[in-house]
Amino acid sequence: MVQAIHHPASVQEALRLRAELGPTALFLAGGTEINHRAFPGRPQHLLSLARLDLRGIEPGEQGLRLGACVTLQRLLEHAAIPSLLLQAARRVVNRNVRNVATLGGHLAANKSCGDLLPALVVLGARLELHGAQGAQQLAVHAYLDDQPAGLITALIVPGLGPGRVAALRGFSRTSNDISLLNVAVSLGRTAGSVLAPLLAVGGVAPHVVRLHAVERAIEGEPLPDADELQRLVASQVRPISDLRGSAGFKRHLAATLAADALQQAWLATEGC
Amino acid sequence: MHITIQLNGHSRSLDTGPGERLLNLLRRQGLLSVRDGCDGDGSCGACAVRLDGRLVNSCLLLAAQADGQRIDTVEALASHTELNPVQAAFVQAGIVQCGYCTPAMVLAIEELLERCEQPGREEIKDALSGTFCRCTGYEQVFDAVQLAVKLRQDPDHRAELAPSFRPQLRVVGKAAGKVDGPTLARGGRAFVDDYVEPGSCVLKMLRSPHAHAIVEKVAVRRALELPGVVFIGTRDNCPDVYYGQAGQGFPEPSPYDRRMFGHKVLHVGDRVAAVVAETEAIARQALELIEVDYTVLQPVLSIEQARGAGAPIVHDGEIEYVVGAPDDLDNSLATPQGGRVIYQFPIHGDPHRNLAASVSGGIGDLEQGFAEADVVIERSYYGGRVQCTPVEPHVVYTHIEDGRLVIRASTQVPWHVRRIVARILGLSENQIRVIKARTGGAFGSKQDIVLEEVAAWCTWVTGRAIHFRFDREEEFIASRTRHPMRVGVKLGARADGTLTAVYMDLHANTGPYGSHCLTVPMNACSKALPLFLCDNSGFDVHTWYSNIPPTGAYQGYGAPKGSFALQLASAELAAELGMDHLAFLEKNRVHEGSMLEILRCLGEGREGKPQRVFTCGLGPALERGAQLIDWGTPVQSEDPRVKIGKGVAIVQQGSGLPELDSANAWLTQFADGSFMLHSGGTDLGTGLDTVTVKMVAETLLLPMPAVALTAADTDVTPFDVGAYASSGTFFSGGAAQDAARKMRAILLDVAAEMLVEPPDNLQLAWPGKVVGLSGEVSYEDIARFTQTGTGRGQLTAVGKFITDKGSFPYGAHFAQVAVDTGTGQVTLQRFFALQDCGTPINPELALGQIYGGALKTIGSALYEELILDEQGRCKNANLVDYKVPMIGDLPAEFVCELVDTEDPFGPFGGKSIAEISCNGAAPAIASAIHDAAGVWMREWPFTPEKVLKALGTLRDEP
Repeated sequence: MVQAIHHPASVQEALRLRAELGPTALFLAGGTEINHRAFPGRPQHLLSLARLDLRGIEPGEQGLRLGACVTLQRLLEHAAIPSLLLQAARRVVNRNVRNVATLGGHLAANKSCGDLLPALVVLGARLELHGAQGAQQLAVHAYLDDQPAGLITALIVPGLGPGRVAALRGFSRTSNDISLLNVAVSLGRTAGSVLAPLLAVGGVAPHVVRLHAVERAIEGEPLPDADELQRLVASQVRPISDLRGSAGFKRHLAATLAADALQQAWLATEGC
Repeated sequence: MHITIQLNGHSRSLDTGPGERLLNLLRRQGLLSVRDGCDGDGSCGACAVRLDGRLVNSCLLLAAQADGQRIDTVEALASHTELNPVQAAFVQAGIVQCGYCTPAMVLAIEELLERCEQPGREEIKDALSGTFCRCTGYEQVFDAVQLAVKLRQDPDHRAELAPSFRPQLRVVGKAAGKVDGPTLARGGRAFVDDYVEPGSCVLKMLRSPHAHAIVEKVAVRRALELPGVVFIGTRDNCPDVYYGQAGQGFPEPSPYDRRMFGHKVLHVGDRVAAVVAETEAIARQALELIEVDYTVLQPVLSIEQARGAGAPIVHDGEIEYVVGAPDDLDNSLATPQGGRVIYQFPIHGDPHRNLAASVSGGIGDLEQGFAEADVVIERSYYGGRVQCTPVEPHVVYTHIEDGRLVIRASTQVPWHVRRIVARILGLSENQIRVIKARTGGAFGSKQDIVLEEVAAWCTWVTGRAIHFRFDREEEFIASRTRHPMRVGVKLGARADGTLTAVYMDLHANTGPYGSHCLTVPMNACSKALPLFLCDNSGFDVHTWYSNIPPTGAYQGYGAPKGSFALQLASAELAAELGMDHLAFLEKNRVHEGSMLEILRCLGEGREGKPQRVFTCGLGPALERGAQLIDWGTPVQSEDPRVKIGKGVAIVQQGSGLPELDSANAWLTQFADGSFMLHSGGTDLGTGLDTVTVKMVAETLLLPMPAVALTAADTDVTPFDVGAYASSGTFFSGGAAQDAARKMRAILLDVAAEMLVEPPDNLQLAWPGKVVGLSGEVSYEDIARFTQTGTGRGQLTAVGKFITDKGSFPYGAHFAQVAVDTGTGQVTLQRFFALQDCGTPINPELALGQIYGGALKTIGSALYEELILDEQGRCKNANLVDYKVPMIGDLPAEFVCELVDTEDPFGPFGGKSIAEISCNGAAPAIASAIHDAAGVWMREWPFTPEKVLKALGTLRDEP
């Protein structure tokens, strides 16, 4: 039961309140997760981020800097957002939710079905995290793996870089259903071989994961054919059976869609 | 805490708690357009408001988050007399049905048009991506938006969005507005929730966590001691009356097999205790304090388990018959906790082996028919658990007024509610008033009395006003679902495609109670078999008790599953014969003039009667559909992994139940010549109130506003069986027409006296007058004349409708699907529904019924499914995980058309439209999947996983 809502005026104040109130206090951005009927936590204090200036979208040296309170809809409306990220944000089909849900909240929720997360991982995005030890930057995939405590204040999305291409595949049973699977990939090509591939998959583990073994296997060689790619991916995912599908189905889907995305990206690098 | 918001243009300082949702704050301010359909998971969008201009779900926001911001709701858009262009366009386009989600949709489009002057289909889909509408199938909203764009520029713009029928008539057969449309479009007071007075109590139900258990003890003392708890009802203090919850005509074919609270619980979610408390929070707290001891029994979940030797017995108490007890009735093994099952008359059940009902029948000689066949196929089909999911859940508000019990309900059957509640409480019917509010979707689920009698009893005992509203989970586990059915089909045909024998072996799972246990499964046969003219046809029906969530009526009433089985089997037979399915249907289908002998064996618990088919639009429907989908021309995808195919199914339904149903109407003239129609008809959002008003306006040559309506209130309107069996237009419309015709005769009689002319010289003339050879009198003249001290008194006409004729609507549904053989995903690309409903009284709303019905079964066929675990617990009792169709799920091309026929018995030639639309999508889609990918999908829903397994791409894993 929520007892109080606090409106800190600075990141420092927000962190101080969080430290004082302890784990019964949660940062509140849009609230589409925390206010959801099925939210598992029972916060007693909410620390609203509304008065913090975290809504900016601006270019920076390291890439595009997106404030943590930028809504998914604002993202879609901004001219400078990479197309892969737009594509991923559109997979959050419900506009009423996109109008409220924020990038920071999407990251902090760290759901396996988070539609933007695989795209952010393969774009090499980093986030700014303020915690007890001060501010730090870390890669999105590293954050998703360990989820260190703190307040996410911004996301930095670098450009893909010359010659690099990205592709995305998602699968849900109906338009508004939670995604069963999301796959994102980015790679380059050098002398007919795959260069520095990144492959991230959501829906096959408790959170979005990079398939490092697959990345290593295809690096430095011409891209294998679809059957081989599917076999490779299938051997590297261990999804669970639940009401969205059996483990076998999800593994098949991950393999099929990852191979699709890899092939699409690979073909596109031919023109680079 | 205080917050300040700009609410609909006014600065308001409001009190709120830190955890209060914006939705609740706004409803507390009397903003009734803001509604709750999903208990705050953001999936239905009925609570949408604009926050600083953007559309958001107010259930997902704390009120505190809106502090300092602007909130706009639909209440600010229009005055009580005028609609804004979006609202007006919605009503004209027929996209307002029950109206529960309409304010949210209107706001979404208003916001869209502010940022995009000429939106296309994709922009509209995006704007409505968060709004769930179960009635309309969304499709007509695209036209509505285009009309709104024009109305914003020119308020007088007129558009023909629906076809027009019967040029000689003024309002019948025309899109002439919906009488309740404006109120619904502006979000006015309409639904049960909107009538709840401050200070009313809240009822919350403690439900069983077990699918099958003996309730050994219910201890309520601690809960009763909680301040604010008013009353707790349990098996120990409830009336010791057995009854059935199916709202059917008396004597019901469904058994009386439950008490308000049983000594056994028979499904997860079954009632254990009802807590009445002063607030919802107290009621919830009290639920936690009730201690219940259960002896858990093994549950029975499937038809196969229920039939199996040694199966646990769901109803193991006394079996009784009001009439016709079988000679071998044996209650020697009845247990005391098993309660009773009372059959009003025999329906060939045997609860002690879990058999709730059975029936067999046929015409001709099946054996002979199969012997004559060149090809015989035998297949088995299964349709699982799906739920009606009205956006407004079941809800009731009960209170005492002048010593009488008032029940304001969202129900399809006000008079059955009154009868059933009166019997349980031991009251005479005149002590109870049932008022149907506007109904926020029903689709069959509100044909059953699933909460009214508990609230009514608690109010009668305590004297307190009580608000009882299901949450979404209760809606899934404790209201009504479609009966799961396993249907065996055996067909025989000659090499030329002529059917020689048709046999259906149908097993249905009724769950814990026998609601509609005979009639739904029987209807699966009676709306499927007569589509084929075959001299040798037969069926066996068995309905089994089990411990799954309760089943009951759902739009189509068994027919969607019977139709799925028989239509898909006919496609399989055609394939076996090497024959085009459409040609096969043409060769064997019913025609105008056909005599449906099979109906002799398909009465509802009594002897049936063969019926002649007087009108049948199947010929033109099939022809038009084939043209639209370009039947016979294969379509190739650019992606070699994706296979495209087409399928067809033919469908039928009835128009009410001949010699069972009845409807009544009274028509009263007011002093200025205007009229008030008192109709028993129960409009569920489908447009029935508009139908009945049109009956009077058309017959008496009046504009529609000259006919006011009061409907479905047991105190002030006459008896009507209610809204089910597709009876509304035919019966309630027929009664209104009868009242109007009688009024016409009375008007002519009075005018003859006034004009001193024989009545034969006179006729009614537009608008509202009687013209003779010597002169004319207006209806107002007549009213003044009759209502003076020397007149004959206020003119009143009494109308009724009963019939021995069955008028069947027909239709053909065509589907084109793309099957991704890599992922198993089936995409419905194009869907065409061509239907004959006689004269469409409200063409725009008739089309909306078809779109909505078709989309429901598209959902059932492809993704909707209630998933139970091995203990009978529902794993997906919410709209997202259950998967309801949203606007993003529409086929790229979705066209419904009306095929013109004119029925000789229905009012102005009308037949039914509502239910038939649910019968075609599943077989048409399954047939198209076969055409595309070569696999027969015989089990709902056709999930990607099942498709991949059928294709052999995916194997079952250990």
